[in-house]
Amino acid sequence: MVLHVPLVREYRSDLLDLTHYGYIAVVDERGNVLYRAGDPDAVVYYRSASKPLQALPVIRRGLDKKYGLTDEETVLLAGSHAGEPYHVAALESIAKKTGLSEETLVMKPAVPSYIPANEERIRQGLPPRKFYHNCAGKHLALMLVQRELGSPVEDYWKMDAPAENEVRDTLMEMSEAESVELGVDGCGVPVFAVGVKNIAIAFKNLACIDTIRDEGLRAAAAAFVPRIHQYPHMMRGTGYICTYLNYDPNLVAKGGALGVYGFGLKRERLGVAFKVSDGTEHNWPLIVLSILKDLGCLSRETEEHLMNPNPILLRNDNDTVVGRREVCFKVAI
Amino acid sequence: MRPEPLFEEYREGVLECVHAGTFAAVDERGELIYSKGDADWTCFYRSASKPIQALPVLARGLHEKYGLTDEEAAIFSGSHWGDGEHVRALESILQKTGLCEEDMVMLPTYPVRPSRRDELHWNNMPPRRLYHNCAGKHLALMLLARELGDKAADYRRRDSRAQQTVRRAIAVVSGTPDAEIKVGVDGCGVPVFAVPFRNIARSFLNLVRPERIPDDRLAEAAAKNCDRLHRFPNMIAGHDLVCSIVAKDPDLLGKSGALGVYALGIRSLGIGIASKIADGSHAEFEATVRAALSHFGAGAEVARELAEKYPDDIVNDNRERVGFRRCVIF
Repeated sequence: MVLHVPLVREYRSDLLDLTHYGYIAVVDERGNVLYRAGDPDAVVYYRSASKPLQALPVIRRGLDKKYGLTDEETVLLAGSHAGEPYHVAALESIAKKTGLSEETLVMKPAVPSYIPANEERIRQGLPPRKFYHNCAGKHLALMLVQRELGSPVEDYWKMDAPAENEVRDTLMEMSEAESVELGVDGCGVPVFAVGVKNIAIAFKNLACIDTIRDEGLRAAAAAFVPRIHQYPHMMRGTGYICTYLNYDPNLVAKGGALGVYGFGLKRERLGVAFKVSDGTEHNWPLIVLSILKDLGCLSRETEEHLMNPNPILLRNDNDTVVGRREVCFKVAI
Repeated sequence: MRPEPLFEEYREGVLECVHAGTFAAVDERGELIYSKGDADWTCFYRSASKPIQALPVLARGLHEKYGLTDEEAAIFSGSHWGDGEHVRALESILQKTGLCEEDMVMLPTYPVRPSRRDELHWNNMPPRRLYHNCAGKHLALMLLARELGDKAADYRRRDSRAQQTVRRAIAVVSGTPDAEIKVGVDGCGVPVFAVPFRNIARSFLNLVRPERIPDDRLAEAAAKNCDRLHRFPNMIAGHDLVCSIVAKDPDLLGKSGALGVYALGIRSLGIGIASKIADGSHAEFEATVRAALSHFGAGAEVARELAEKYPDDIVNDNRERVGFRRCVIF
C-alpha cells in the first residue's frame, strides 16, 4: 500500500489534467515530525539529495586542505553540476591537484545537462566526457576517500568499498537512521534509501549544525556549509533551483533524481523533505515555494527566484498561458 | 477524478516511483469492459486526436485536390519526430498546396528526436516551424480553413470554420454530444479537445471499425486513412517509436498524446483502449500497449518488438540493470 497523497494538480483551461502524488515531512530540531503529507516513514532513495552528506568525509579527513582544493572546488563535491565551462574547469583543477584521473570514474561519458552548454559542445564538435556527468564531483570525492583509506581507487564504486562504507555511516548518522536500504544509482555507485523524515532530519542537521551528534561530522559541516552559500552555482548551475535556494543564507538545499528534495532552515531550526512519488521534478519550485510560504520563512529574494517563471502558470510551446497549477497541501506546524 | 496506480518502479527492492492514472477499455459495442480510475473523467486528447482531426480534410478530398501522395497525407495524423522523411513530406506538401510555413501558429523549434536535433545544431541550422511535431496537423487545418473560405492562417482560432468542423468530427467519431466537449489550448497553440475518458477509447474502436462512425464521409475517410497509416507507419511518429511500431500491424491503430495519453484500437477484437498517466509521463506508452495487447490477446509481433526495444528493466547511465518496472493495470 502506497501512502502518498496529491501534492500538486495541474489544470488546462479549467479541466484537471495532471495529479502529482507524494510525501512531505517537516521535522523540528529534535527530529520530531511536525507536519506530514502521506507517510513520513515511507522509504525513498536519497539519490543526489545525499551529496552534501557524501562530501563530509572528505572535509572531516582534511583532504581538501591536503590537496589544496579551493572552497569553490569543494562545493562541487556536493553538487550535481550542469556541465557549464566553469564546472568542467573546476573538475579538471581537482583532478590535477589530486592526481586522480577522469578515466577512473565509473560512469560512461555523458553530455552537459545545461542545454546551452551542450549545444556549444556540439557546435565545437567535442565528444561526451565523464566530467560532463552531473555526479562527477561526488565520484572524485569518493575516490579521494577510498585512496586515503589505503584501498584501490578504481574500486571506489563497489558496494563494499571502504569509501562507500564511510559514506554510508556518515549518511546514517546525519539522517539518524537505524537502517538503510541500498541500490545502484544512475551513475553506477551505491545509493541509499531511508524514511522521508530521515532525509528531513539530515537537512535539519546541515542547517542546525550544533544538533549533529557526531563531533567530527559537526566540525566538517561547520566548515563546509558556509562554502555552499558562498558558491551555490557549484551545487547545480545557471538558473536551477538548487543554485538559487542555496543563495539564501537561511537555507541548505539539494535535490535528487526522481522527485526527491531536502532542505534545512537555520533560523526556524527545521528540516524539510519531500518526494514526488511519480518521479517528476518540474513542480519542485512550486512545492518549495508553498512550504516556505506556509512556514512564514520565504525571503523576498528567494520568492523572486521561485516565481521566475511563475510556477503556478502552465505555458505552452508558444509561451501562452494555457492553464494553472494548484497545491493540494497546507503546511501547518 | 481519482487516478489509480498503473505502473510501479522498483530500484533493488525499494518502490521508487508510482505512476497513477486512468485506463478504459470498451468492447465492440462501445461498452466499458475494464477500467481503472474514473472512466467518465473529461480528459484532453492532446495529439491522440490527430487521426480524427485529419478526417474532415481527407473527407473533402483535399489531399487529392493538391496531388499529395498517400505518404504525405499520412503525416496529417502524425506527431512526427523530424526525421528526413518527415521534413521531405512536409516541404512537398507546402510546395504542392502553396501554403506558407510562416502562417503556422507555433514558434520555430527543433525536432523531438535528439539525434536529429544534435545534427541540426552541428550544422548550425536554425529552428523551423516544420520541425514541430504537430506540423502535419497544422498544414491539414490550414488546407481546411482555406477550403472553407477563410484565410489559411485563421485555422488557429477557436471559432474558425476549420476548428468548428474539426470539433464536429471529434463529436461524431467519439460519440460525444457537442455540449460535453471541452476546449483548451494545445502545446502548439491550436484548440485541443476534451471528452469523457471512455469516449477516447470509443473513438479508437471507431477508427479501426469505421463502419461504426455515423457519418458516411467521415467513415470512408477513416477507413482509407487507417489503411494509409498502415502502409506508411513512420509518418505517424517515426521509426522505432511506439505509434509507428503499432501501425506496422494492420489490426491496430495507436496514437499518443502529450502528458501521458495513449489511445489504441484493436480491429479484430473490436476493442478500444484509452490510457492516461496522471503525472504526464510518456515513458509508459510502450508498456501500456504491450500490457493491453497481451491481456486482450492481439498484436503478438508488435508486443514482441515493443518488449525488445522498450524492456521493463530500469537501466542507469552505465546501461546496468538497477531495477524494473511492473505494470499493475490488470
